[in-house]
Amino acid sequence: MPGFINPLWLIALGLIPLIRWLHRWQSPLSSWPVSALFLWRNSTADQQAGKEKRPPEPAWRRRALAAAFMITALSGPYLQSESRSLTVWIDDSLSLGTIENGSTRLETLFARLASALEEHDPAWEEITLRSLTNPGRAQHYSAGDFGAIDPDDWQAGRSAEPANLTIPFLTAQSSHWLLTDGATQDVHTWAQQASLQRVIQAGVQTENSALTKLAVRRGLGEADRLDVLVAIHNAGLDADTRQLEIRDGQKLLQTTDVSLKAGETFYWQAQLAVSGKSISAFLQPSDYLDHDDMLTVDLGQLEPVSTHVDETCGPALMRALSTHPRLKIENSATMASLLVTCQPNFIMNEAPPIAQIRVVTAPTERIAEAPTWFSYEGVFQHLSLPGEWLSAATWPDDITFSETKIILRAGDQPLVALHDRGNSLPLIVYTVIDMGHPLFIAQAEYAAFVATLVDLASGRLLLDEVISSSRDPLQSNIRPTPVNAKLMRSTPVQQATAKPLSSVFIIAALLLLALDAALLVRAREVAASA
Amino acid sequence: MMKRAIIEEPDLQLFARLVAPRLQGVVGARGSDPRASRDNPGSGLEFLDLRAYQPGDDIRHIDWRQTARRQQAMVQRFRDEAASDWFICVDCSASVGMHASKWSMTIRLASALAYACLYSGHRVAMLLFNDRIQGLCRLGRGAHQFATLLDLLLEHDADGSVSGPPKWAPENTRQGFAATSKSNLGLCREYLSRNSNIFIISDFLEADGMRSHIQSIRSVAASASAIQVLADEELEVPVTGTTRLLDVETGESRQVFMSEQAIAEAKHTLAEHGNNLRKDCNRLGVRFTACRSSDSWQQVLIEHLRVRQ
Repeated sequence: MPGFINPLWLIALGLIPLIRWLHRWQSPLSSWPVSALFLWRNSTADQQAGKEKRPPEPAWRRRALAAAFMITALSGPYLQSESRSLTVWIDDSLSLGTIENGSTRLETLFARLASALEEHDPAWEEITLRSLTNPGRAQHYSAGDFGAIDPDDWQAGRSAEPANLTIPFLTAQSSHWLLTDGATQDVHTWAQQASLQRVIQAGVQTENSALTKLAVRRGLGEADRLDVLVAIHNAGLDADTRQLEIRDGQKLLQTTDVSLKAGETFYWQAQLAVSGKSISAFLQPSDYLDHDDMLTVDLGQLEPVSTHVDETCGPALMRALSTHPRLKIENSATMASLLVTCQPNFIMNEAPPIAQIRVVTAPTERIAEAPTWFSYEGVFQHLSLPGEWLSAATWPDDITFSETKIILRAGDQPLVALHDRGNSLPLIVYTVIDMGHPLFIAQAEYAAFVATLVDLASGRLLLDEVISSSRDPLQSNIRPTPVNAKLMRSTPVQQATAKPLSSVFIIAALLLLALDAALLVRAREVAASA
Repeated sequence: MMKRAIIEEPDLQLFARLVAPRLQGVVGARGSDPRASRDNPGSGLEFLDLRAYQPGDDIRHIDWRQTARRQQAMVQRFRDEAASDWFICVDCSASVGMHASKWSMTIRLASALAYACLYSGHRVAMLLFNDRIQGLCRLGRGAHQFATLLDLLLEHDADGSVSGPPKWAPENTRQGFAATSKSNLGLCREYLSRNSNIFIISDFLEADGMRSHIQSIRSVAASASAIQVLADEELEVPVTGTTRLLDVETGESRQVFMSEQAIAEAKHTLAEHGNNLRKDCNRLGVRFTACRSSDSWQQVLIEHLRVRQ
């Protein structure tokens, strides 16, 4: 179907008669001698007579046609062959899982998509379903396979919520449709920027409350109890009352009624005795979007770290490790995930593939300056180690610092260093501090220092470890809003798929002008010869 | 071009032999020789010679003095007045010369006529005219006269200039000319002898068809003939659109939208002009023939003289 990008230029075609009129006033280009002028007395266009209308130069048709071609070229003609390739952008954010009338919004959208595909004429040659939240995820269907589109392949909330969407896959060779409920603001922004030909929307309900956070940590006072924190957000427009259930597996631990105002976030916390492997929070009864009414955390991370302490280590170090609330002393090194050793002969290559704390037990001497943390300042700065408590051995020559990061040093003397063995092997923590110094072991900082070494070796803050599961409160917004996309008939996408014809008209006009110039030159030559 | 205009002698002789009786007015008056010669005795006034009286001679022609001297009746003989004077008036105006074929045809007709008249014993004079008398060859006869006439024709161009190709031949035409060589046939009148025969060769492309001049000449001539020579390309204008047409004789210009219709109208005007010219000539007793430059000069002249007969 032909079309024009700037059809207003076509108004200029009305000036074509002006060209004809101007050619009536053109002075004659040529002169020609005749044997008797009186023979031509009855010929028309006699300017001397001035009574008869003078016909325009025949060249006016050629020039008018060239002008018409140029004007047409300026108007941007194109031959639009409707794109046969369709990309369907699927907003698979969490709100699309909202159940309305027995089916999710996503299922409704797919049903509407199927109807739209049947109505569309001509048929698409290729359809690509592409996730709006994860554009790399796409399914391709060719003509005849459209019936194989399965809504079950697409689940709401599988990917992160749409945010800062870009349009890298919005190719100009394809038409683009969008399936959405309009509940996410970033989708609105994206739809306004993108060149969409159609937006299919679904969604009516607006009320939804969601669990947005479940956090658990080991109780410091009682190791068998857990501190539990739950956050509940009301994303609807009206107040809501729900019942919060905390379960240890299938065992109900706690039930609480929660009343929420519109837009309010409520925090609930308690200390619970949990024996299972996980803990879950539920909101009852289920609302339109039940995907966000449950959160679960795995308690495995809160289990004690199996630690084997070498017999060469002194009793003070053994006592400090055994009293660490997050460590479980194992007699066998094979069962441990953390090894503490004080053996003097250490061969790096023979070190087991577990986290280790290596204490160098060579003869020590008092350190000259107070130790200073060189790294992990934010974590260890509260731990002050006066120099008079400490003595340290000379740093072994075989432990180079090319792959070792100094953590604590006293002047130029390294005291604690962290060695990364690479290949995803656990870290090794070295220390030359005398862990049996009588002044040091009597201090409370001794246990704290040992706990610091354990945290360094395990890469975790074991004493204050919190595990949690959360979701963005915006995900729980299911309020559908009409997408205000610019669905122009002549979208850039359509223009890109259309075949531009301006060049054809320009070439035709240039050819006509060249022909006219050639004829003009010839006429002048004839006139000159006359 | 000039060489092409010259007709070969055998062709001229053949033509002259064919048309001589028509120029004489009496076929075979003097035996097998159709030529009219002033050396032949006749009923003229100019003395030719004496001879002995023969029965049947007019006694008024007896020369008594010579009869007494010779003791024999002698009669005077006079030159034959059947040989007459012919004036060939050739139009060498710019309108004739602008087309080489037209000027060439004019030369052929004039030279052939001159040769035929001289061959028949007539005296022939030639006048080349445009806006003035460009060339004049007075009455004479014989081969020498023909050579003189031919030189006059070849020496002058159609615009009156001496030598060189005609200025208005299309291959030599140029813009911005100063045209002055307009046809003025009336200038020839003072050079004509009374009761002479006049041949006018021209294109007669004057608005009035030279009507008054023809009438003036006809009044003093025993007979008058007019041959109109037109070029085949007379109305060919190889340009289209609005064109300024220039009259090669007057220099006047006229802006015309050149189209097939305009050319058709000009052809119509030309045909009308020719018809009017023919009517005027008939009315004045002037034999008229129109020809094209591509026509055969023999056929044109034979047809013209046949009509005259």
